[in-house]
Amino acid sequence: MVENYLTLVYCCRNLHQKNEFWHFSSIPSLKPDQMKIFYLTTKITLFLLFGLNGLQAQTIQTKLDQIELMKQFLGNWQCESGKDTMVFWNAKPYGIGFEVDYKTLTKGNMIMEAKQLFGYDKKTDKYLAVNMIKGMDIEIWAIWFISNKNFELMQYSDMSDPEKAIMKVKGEFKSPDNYVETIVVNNKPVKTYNYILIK
Amino acid sequence: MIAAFLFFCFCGIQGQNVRPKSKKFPSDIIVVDTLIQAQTTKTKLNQVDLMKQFVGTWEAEIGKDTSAYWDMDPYGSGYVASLKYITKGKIVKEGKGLYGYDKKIDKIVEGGITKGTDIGVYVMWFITESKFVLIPLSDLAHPEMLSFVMEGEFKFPNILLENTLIESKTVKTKTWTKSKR
Repeated sequence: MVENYLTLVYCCRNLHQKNEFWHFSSIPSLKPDQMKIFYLTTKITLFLLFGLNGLQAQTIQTKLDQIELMKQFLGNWQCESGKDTMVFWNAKPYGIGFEVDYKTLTKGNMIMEAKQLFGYDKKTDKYLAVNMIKGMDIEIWAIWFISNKNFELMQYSDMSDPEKAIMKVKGEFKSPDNYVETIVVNNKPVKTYNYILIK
Repeated sequence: MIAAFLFFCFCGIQGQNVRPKSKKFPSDIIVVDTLIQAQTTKTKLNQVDLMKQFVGTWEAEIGKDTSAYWDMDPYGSGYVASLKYITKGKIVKEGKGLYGYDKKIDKIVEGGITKGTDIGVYVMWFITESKFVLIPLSDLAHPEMLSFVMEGEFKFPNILLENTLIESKTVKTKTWTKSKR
């Protein structure tokens, strides 16, 4: 819609330069200054008519129900994160969010366990995740869907300016029981994980 | 989800939130700035050790017939918290939280969900052996735009006072007593 508006302004300008623009040619009583004002007024009106409507439509179209979409994560997932190493990630509903217990096993031996809390934050229209791995510092993350199937995850500190995040995760639900996550560093994918819903 | 978290954790990207806020409470700026300075200039406090004072089950009278119960159970180097408000034997409010240390900022970070409400993420730090301050994590990078400040003090190992201030005015106080429930 915005592109349409720009095309329209461009055409009007060209027509004006060729003295073919009906607004000006058909109103001979207008002086040059008045014509400029008239031209600017027309531009502003066109912008308000086409540009803002277009932007509004775009905003409404892209508004996603983050709470509903995040429910796709509920359940017991597993992922092969390395040779002989499996991650088990179990998300259970809690309030407007979910609580997670997860662990990593290598050849059947637990090498890591942790807890997470995911909750909605209406101020940012995103989910915030608290991540606490035994023996490590606490971490806060932000996660949100950018389409019905695609989501992004990054550090809380990067949430206000996601484009500048050095590291982020881009994820996609391939089906209700399968999603993939790609680690992106400096806009380059470095590793992909595949998660399968086991129940 | 976890694989990605682990990847991040091990890579250790640093930084603090810079989410803009609209409110400005100059008096709170002074309070928090002073508190941050106090921590920096005096002997460095061991935030992880001091956090251990929270361990246990705490109880507070919230209003007529209503008591709050707050459990803090150790988990790794942090804590898993559960909160319940009980009125005449019925749970009227409940929540869960995770508390842990963040060495990048030398402070304790807390994230919690109360059922039916948004997640809350806070940062707290001890300014003396017995006193601490808690603010929203989003306000840490902008102490001049504080939403609120909570000041806490362990009067005794089993008595904890909490005082919530907005614009330097007390809006809520709680007295927690450690119980053997």
